[in-house]
This record gives sequence, structure tokens and C-alpha cells, in this order.
Amino acid sequence: MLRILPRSVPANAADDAERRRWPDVPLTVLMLALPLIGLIAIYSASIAVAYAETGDPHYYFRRQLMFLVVGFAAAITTLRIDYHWFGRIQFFGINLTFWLLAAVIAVLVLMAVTDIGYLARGSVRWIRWGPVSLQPSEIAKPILALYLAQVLASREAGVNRLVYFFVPTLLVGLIAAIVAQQPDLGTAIMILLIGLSILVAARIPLLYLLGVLVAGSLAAWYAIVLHPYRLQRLTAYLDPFNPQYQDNVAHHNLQALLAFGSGKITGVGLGRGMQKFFYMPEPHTDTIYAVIGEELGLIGTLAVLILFVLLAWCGFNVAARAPDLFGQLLALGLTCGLFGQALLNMAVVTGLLPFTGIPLPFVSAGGSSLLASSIAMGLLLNISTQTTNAAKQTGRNRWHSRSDSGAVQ
Amino acid sequence: MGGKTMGTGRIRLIQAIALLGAIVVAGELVWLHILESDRLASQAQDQYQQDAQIVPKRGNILDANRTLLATAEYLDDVEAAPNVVRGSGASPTAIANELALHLGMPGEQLAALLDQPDKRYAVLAKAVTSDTSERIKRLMRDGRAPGVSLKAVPYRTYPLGMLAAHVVGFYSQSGSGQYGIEGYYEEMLQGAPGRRLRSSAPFGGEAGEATWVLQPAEPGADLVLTLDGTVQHVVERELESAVEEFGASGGTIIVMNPRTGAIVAMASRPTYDSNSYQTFHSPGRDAYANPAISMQYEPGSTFKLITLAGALDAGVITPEKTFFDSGKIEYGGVEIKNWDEKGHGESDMTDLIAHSSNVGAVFVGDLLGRDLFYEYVSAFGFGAPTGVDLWGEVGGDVHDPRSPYWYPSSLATNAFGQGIAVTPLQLAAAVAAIVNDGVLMRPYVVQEIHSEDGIRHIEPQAVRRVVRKETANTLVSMLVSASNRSESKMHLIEGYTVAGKTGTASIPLATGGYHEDLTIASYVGFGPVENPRFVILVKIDRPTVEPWGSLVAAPVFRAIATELFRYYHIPPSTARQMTEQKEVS
Repeated sequence: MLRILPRSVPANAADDAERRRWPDVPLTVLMLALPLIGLIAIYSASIAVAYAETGDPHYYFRRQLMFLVVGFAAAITTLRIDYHWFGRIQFFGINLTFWLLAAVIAVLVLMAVTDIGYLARGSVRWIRWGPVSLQPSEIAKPILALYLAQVLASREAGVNRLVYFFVPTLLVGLIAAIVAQQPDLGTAIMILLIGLSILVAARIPLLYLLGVLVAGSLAAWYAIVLHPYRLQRLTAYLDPFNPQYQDNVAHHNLQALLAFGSGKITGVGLGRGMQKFFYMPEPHTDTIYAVIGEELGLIGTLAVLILFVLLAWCGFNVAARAPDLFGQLLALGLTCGLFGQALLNMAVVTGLLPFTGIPLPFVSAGGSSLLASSIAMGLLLNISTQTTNAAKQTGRNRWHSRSDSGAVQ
Repeated sequence: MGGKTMGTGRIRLIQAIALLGAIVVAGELVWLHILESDRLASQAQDQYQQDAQIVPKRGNILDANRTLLATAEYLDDVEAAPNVVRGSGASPTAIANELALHLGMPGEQLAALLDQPDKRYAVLAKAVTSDTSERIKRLMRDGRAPGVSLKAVPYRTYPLGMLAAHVVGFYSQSGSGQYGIEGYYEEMLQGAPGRRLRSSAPFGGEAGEATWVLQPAEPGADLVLTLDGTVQHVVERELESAVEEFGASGGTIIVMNPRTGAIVAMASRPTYDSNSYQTFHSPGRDAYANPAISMQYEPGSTFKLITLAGALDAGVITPEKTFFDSGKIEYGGVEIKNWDEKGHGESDMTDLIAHSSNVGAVFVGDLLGRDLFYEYVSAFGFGAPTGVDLWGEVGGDVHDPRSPYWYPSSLATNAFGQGIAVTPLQLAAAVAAIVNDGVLMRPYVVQEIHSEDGIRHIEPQAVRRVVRKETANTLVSMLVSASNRSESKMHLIEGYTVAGKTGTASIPLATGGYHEDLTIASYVGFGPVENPRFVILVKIDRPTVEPWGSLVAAPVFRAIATELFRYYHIPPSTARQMTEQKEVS
């Protein structure tokens, strides 16, 4: 039942020397810097909420510190595992990546149909074992990227694309739909974004792409109809300063805008923000960017934005230099996932997009989000240890991409 | 297979889209942090730093004995910030159940108030007792009531409730003094509000409300009244029992110091409790208006004193002046009858008072002449407010010859108090002027104002000399003699010399003419005659058992005067004469 495939690319001494490098240094720095910034922001943002909820003002700070240790361990672990390994293990003739994804889907389905899920703030997103709680939809993100990249990279020449893309496309839609009904629209959007980025990069048939877009639109329409509050959020988004909305749906959004405005250029000072004192909901999680905006001003928010842009830059470079299609698709999907989520969070909090709750990767308090981001970062760093010479790679691939035939070296 | 790669073109395309997204977000950040920041920041400031008023403590109202009639007591309102409750993650129901125990309110009602996560403010209970407030503070300290806070608010209470309600007035739910002293001295009583910067508490209910006082509130002034609670109590008791005994619709009594104009007691029925004024209804009229100053009536025979005073002062009559009382007289085309429709034959002016002769009053009024009559009427203060420091005083209706409502017969009817409308206070003040050697004093209720700046004493204020001292004294002795000649002795008090005049006034109908059997029975008198300490006006409205002032109002006067002699430690006239004789011998 268990089978380990041989390495697809023969390892010769020269390749090894070129591939076994240190992880990408800027990425490693970002991987350490962002959670630390998050930790400081959480310390400031969560004291009021933590005190009110638990009596311990440092409750969320302490938890996040613990999550950082777990996340760091997860990142180190995935960094140490050659990502190809995920493609070489098979159970019953089917790849490990599929089984991992199947397990996540199974848990998500079970949460949807049974009550093993844990209801909090009107949504069933978590499962719990004693003190440990986990958000499977978060874990689904890196696993989905792993599965899609592995499956789509392994298509043999001549296999019908329509047949080959069918199951992956379906699974992306399925997971997004299950997550959306939890309801967790933000994470569902991220699932779609990760899925679409890899599918598009792997040249999904246009028919499927249209299908996904149409199905996505229908699902979005249905989701809005199903939960009228989403429509209200949409109207409130279009008119956040309308007093009619100020005390209800747009409250969250408006309060975040007030936080940014209060911060001006240099901020009111770390720890000195007022909005976190129950004016702005979820200050330490989904809205932490606004707390940074209030306390550290434009300098703080731009710095965080730039760090994420750098992360994207490095991530896309890793994708461009990955040694094979698996690595490329995986790096691309993970980068799109991390950066896309960061951008979505910022756009929502700054009022560019209608409100939906989604954490800022690495920065927002929360174990599952940090674990998922750390796994993604570990995988990305692992790919970065195997990148080939950028110049050679880039030059060659410009040609090979057109013919779709060239293998590196 | 695995070694195969895709081109970097698509990666760079996605990279470019990502960068574009970042640029849009950066633009939005600049817009929020710089371009819109002033507006947003001030809106944010507004919501946690409100420039709030500090409600000043309202001034007390005390009677002449320094007994509290109205006071402000700081009681806590229980408030909540439902958004904080939600933010704290605590269950609104659990908090509601905790509070329900202490507030004695249904938990569901409290839960409904607390479970409004989008609201920032809700009042759970008003004016809780200090005991309840202590227990809620304990809950807050234990962190069992996040988002709940207490606010000390000065509440108005009237320790003596119904006593002198018409004089005191009340503090309305809309937050201002209404009627009586509360209304008239609103500015002084309310004080000046202070300002504070209210900042919402970082930890919801735990820290309560952090407050910076920008300007402390200036408490309202305390007012000391001339009103004597003891006398007031006697007056209210007597009024109450008279109204009941004679089946009257209501009544008014005023006790005044004739030397100063100070109002010692002023009561009316029906009345209300200032603490719960809302529950009082009086159909057909302004329920809370003080009848002593706001309701005018036709005074009837009591007004003959004014006619006589004028005529004596003008020199057109002397006490010995006689006229023939045939029981009726025609004047200005109108036939005027005596109240008992009886004639008394040849009568002098004292007889006029003793018999309360309408015919005599018409005779005197005619002698005085219309110009002088209305001059005196106006000099006694009729037709204009007395200027008393109470809310809602009216001026009465005097139609002098310049008025289109004046007819030649008006002089005759006015002379015995018909066709002229006065307030009880105007009449009391006018009689007090006669008693006070002819000088009209402005009636007043507040004698001291205790404010931050110190104590201000209100000095008695003479309005004008209305008649000469001799005139006044002559009229007073005529009244005394008339009392002795009068068939009614209901007002007399053994050992003391008192004097006064009855009145049985007809009640004009809106349709013209007068009510057939209902009257206003009144008596205005004073004592002791040698050195008058008080003027008492008793007015009983629509007595059904007995219509006459002599039988309805005079006994009330006697009862009150008797108590006053005792209360003021005034020795009986006979005893005084004995001591005087002793001193002489």
C-alpha cells in the first residue's frame, strides 16, 4: 500500500552542489521579522480584550508566543523535508498530497454535517481537543497548494487536459464552498485564490476557468442571499460614514478607518491607541493592521506593507527559479496565498473592499493562521534551497515555456 | 516530468498584479493617514472623549425654620455599554441575571438591554439606593459586570411631599423647575453646569469612567423661604378639613405678615405631591398652577374694604356717614340687592360692614366717584401682578372706565366686589396694606439666598402708600366695631381682638350671569388688632353644605388665628391690658 517513488531527477554531484544551499536569506529574515512585529502589535492590541475576557491582559500575547514556537517548529520541519518527497509517497497508488487534502476535506465535511466543530462568534471554524483548537480551513491552504502543484506538475505529455484538470478544479470549488458555509467567506476566497493561481499557472482549460468563475459568482450570490448581513456589509461598505450604519454593520469598518486616521504619519505611539479599547472589534486578530495604523501611523502600515511586498517579491523569485514545475507551482501558490491574504486583509481593513474577516498572515493573533503561514513559509524556504541559477534559468525558460518541452539541465 | 518548468512570464504577470494591488493599498493608506486624517481623528476623539456636562447640584429649598422642603440627593444611575459587554466576551444573560438580583428587575429585561452589541449606551436603572449601588460596585470590582457603570446623578426630592406643593413647585422630568419657587428661581437653583472630558474606560466596567474636570459645576443657591412649615401645616390641615366638611371643590388660604409682605403660609386644594407630580390630574385647568396667584375670582364683599378705604381716604365719607339701606338700589340701569335681600334702614358705615350691605357699598362707591374709585383700586394693586416671587402669577381683571367692558353700572357692582376679578394674593396684600397703616408691601416668599457668593437677605419692599395712616387706622377700628355689631361671631377668638370681613362671592358663568347656588365663601382677617402679626385670607370654593363666608370661611380663620396666637406666643389682649394696667399703676 505504501510506495516510495524514486527521485524523478537523477541527482548528480554538480546538481547537488548547486541545489543544496542555504534557504533564501531575505525570505528567512521576513519569516522571522513579520511574526515578531505581529507579537509586538498583539501585545498592544490585545491587552484590553484579554483583560476583559480572561483577567490576564497578556493572555493573547502569551498564547501567540506559544504559537510562534509551534509555528517555528513547523517551518523548520517543512524546510527540512525536500518538497519532492510529498510527490514520491503513494498510498494505494494515490499520492500522499491527495490523502492529506482528502483528510482535510473529510474533517471540513464532518464539521459541516456533525457538531464536532466548535461554534464561536457565529461561525463553526474550529475543532477542539482539550486546550488545543485548530482551524482546518487554514491548514487546508498549504495542503491544497501542495496537492495542486504536485498533481498538475505530474501530468504526462499526451494526457487529456480536460480529464486531468477535472478533479483538482472540482476539489478547489468543493473546499471553498464548504468553508464559505461555515461561514467564513474570507478563507473561502483565499482557497479560491490559491487554487486559481496554481490552476491558471498550470494552464487550466478555459472551459474550467469559466466554470469556476461562474460557479464562484453563483456561490457568492447565494452566500450573500443566504446571509443578509453580507448584503448589509456591502451597502455599508459603499457608504461607511452614513450614520445609519455607524452603529451596526459598518461599525467594524468605520472604527478601523478612524484608527488609521488617528495614527496620521507617525502614529499615536506604541501602546497608546484608543481604538483597541472595545471601539474596534477584533483588534488583535482581523483588525490588527488598524491598530498598527493607529499606534505607528503611516510609517508602520507602509513598513508592514513593504515587508509583504518583499515577501511576495522573494516568493515569486523562488517560483521563477524553482528547479521544476512542481516547485514553481507550489512556490507560486504559496506566495499568492500569503501575499494575497495580506493584501485582502489590508484592503478590507482600509475600506477598499467590503468587510470580511480574515487574519493578516504572521501578524494577527491566532494559532491556526500562524501554523498555516509557517508551513507555507517552510515549504517556500525549502524550494528556495533548491533554486537554480537565476540568470540561466530565466533565460532558458523564456524559450522553453513556449515549447513546453524543455527540461532544466 | 518533474524537471519540466513553466515560463516565468506568468509568474511575472502575477507579480505585477500583486505589486499593483500593493500600490493601491499604499495609496489608500496615504489617503487615510494623511489626507483624511484630521476628519477621522476628530471623529475618533469625539467618540471617546466627549465634552460632557457636569450636572450641578440643585439648590435646596428650606422653610423659615430651615426645614428642607426640596433637596437634591446624589443617587446612582446604572448604565451599560452593550458594545463593551459584547467585546468582553461575557454573556449578557449572565450579567443580566447577576444584576437582576440587586436591581429587583426581571433578568430578561436587563438581558435585552445588554444584548445590543452595536449600542454604546443603555440605561439599566435610575436612582438606585446607595445600598444597591454598593453591591453593584462590588460586582464591578469582581469583574462580574463588564461594561456596566454607575453614574451619580443629583435627584430632586421633596421630603415633606404635599406640604406647600403649590409654593415649592416641582422639578420636571424634562430637567427644569416648574411652577412655584422651582419655576421662578430656576436660574438660581440650577446653578451653572461644569464641563468634563469623558473618556471611556479602557477596561469597560472595571475602571468606571475616567473623567477630567475642565470646569467644576457651580451648585445652585439654597433658598430660605418666609414660609413657616409649622404654620403651613396648620393651614393645610384646616383647609383640608374645611373643604371636606363643607363639600367644597377646593380652596386657598394665605397667611401674610402685613408689616413685611412675607408670605408665612400659602396653601390650596386640590393639591399634589411634588415628588410624584405626574400622577396628579386636575381636569379643566392647569393642574399645577398655584390658585393663590394664578386663579382669579370675583371677591365679593371682602372688596368693600377697598371701596371704604378709598372713600375714607378721599374724605368723601367718615365712619359716621349714614345712608338709608332699603335692601335694594338701582344704579346705572341695574337693580342691586343686598345678599339677604333685606333692608337695614338708616345705617352708618360700620353698619355697612357689619351687614355687608351692597346698597351701602354702591352708595359709597357713588360718593367716591368713578375716577377716584379706580385710582384706589389700582393703588391697592388690583389689575396687576403683585410681583410675588412665584411662578405664574396673573394680574386679575379690572375694567376701568377706559375699558370697553366698563358700563356705568360697573362702578356699583365693583364697589361690592362683583364684575372685578382678583387673585387671592392681591386681596390678601391689599388688606395687609390697610393693616400696615396704609402701605402696600410686595408679597414675597424667599427671604434668604445662600449662594457661593454668600448670603443675600431679601428686604421687605414697600410698593407704595395707598391710603393715609389715619384712614387705615380708622378702617381697622371700624372693622373691630363692625365685628361686635355683626350677627355672626364665627371669627371671634376669646381673649384676642381680631377683625376681618366675610365675602360670599357669586361665581360668574361663561354664558353671562352668575351661578345660581354655588359661591366662593371667603374671609379675610387679621390679628391681633393692637399690633397685627398676620393677615389670613381664607377662600373656600363652591361649598355645597353652606354657601356663606361667615359660616364656611370665618371658622377656618378662627382656627388658624387661634393656633397662630399660641405659636407666636402672643398673650391674650385681656392679659395684655392687665399687664399694661399694672405697668401704669
